[in-house]
Amino acid sequence: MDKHRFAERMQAGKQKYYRMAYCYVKNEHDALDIVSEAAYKGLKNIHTLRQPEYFDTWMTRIVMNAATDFLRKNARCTPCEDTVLETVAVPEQALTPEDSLDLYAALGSLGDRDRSCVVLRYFEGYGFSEIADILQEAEPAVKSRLYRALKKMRVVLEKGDAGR
Amino acid sequence: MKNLGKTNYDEIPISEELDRAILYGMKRAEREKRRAVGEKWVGVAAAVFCVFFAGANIAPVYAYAAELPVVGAIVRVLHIGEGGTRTDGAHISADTQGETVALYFESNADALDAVPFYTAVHHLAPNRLVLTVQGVCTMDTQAVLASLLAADAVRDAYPSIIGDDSAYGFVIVLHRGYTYELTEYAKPAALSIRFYPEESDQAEATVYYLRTKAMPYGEELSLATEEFNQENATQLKTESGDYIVTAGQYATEAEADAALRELETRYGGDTGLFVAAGAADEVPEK
Repeated sequence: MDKHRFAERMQAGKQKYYRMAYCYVKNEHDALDIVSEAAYKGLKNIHTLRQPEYFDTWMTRIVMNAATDFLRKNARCTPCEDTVLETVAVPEQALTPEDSLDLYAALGSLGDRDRSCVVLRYFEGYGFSEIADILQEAEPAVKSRLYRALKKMRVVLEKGDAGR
Repeated sequence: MKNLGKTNYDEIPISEELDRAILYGMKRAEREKRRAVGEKWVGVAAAVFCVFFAGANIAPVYAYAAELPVVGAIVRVLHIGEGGTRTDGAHISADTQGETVALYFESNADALDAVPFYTAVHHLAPNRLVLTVQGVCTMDTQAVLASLLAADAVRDAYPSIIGDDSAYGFVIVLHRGYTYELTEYAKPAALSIRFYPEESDQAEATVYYLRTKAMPYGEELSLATEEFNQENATQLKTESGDYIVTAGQYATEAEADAALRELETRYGGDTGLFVAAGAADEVPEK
């Protein structure tokens, strides 16, 4: 893939990448920093993308990694700890949030990878196997993350202390 | 799934600076490739940012994409597979720009919104793309072939003969060290084939396949292709100018032999096929 095709694919997915980045930092300037950094890393490493049909999965992973790197490097942001990952069997119905649950408002209560799972699944509509590809984790582990993230977000929202 | 969180997520306003931020990242990567010198955008004040772009007279990010000969929305990008929608009565024309060939689809002189159903299959011995488009009534065959042959990557291009009057197919043979990428566009409908160099670990491999004897371009070729359609049959022009039908692609001679025996069992005797071998870029002599 050359720079022209890369630009074309970035143009097609830019709004999604921006919203994903925004979820981590909740402000325009930092979200732009993240997307810019992701564009830089993406084009710099474009030769590693062997199959162009996987561009979106590949670029989504770069954006998410850029976002978590950004949080780690900026002292004003103290990332929450990820849920301790102990894979458990999770029934599908346990992964369905109720309509009134404002997952967006409670994202800040989650660690980086748990937050990525929620954004990809409930905001961007990715399937479990696609999320597993993006985060390079096993599918049961992704389900466990989502299950525990939902539980944690419900608690946070019930207490009324949601936020970044 | 529709929920409150999703609604709030979808309402995140998109920054007007987004194109420029992406462009900045891309320019930085290009500069770094050239000079191996890094720099950071984080922390650059907005005013400096604007001056940088105004002074450098850098076009927005879509200027990169504007160099391509098609402008529709991307539907999918693929190497092999299928796409498009079921249509009929389409007309195909073509244009080329550098190493990208664009196929355009129209009906009654109006551009279609969606590309007709198509399949893309890649084979070796030789390295080639077989593209078949259905639901087409006319095609400017000479223009399409001329566009394909204008690309440096293309060694040969010729139409497949297909029994179905509403389907058109091409065999696009690539030079050694080249590959391709297909992009399907909608509104207006277009299919771009971009050829580009790529090192392949298959370049030196010997490929085994089943083939018929050589025959002229005509009905016999069409019938033989249909006969072995389920075996991933393709039409291939030999160096001598005749055509053969190939079926399957195997890594070893033993696998090809086994496939042939299985076919003979299924067909109840001689199939007219035999095992052949060739280098990944080799066109059979005859």
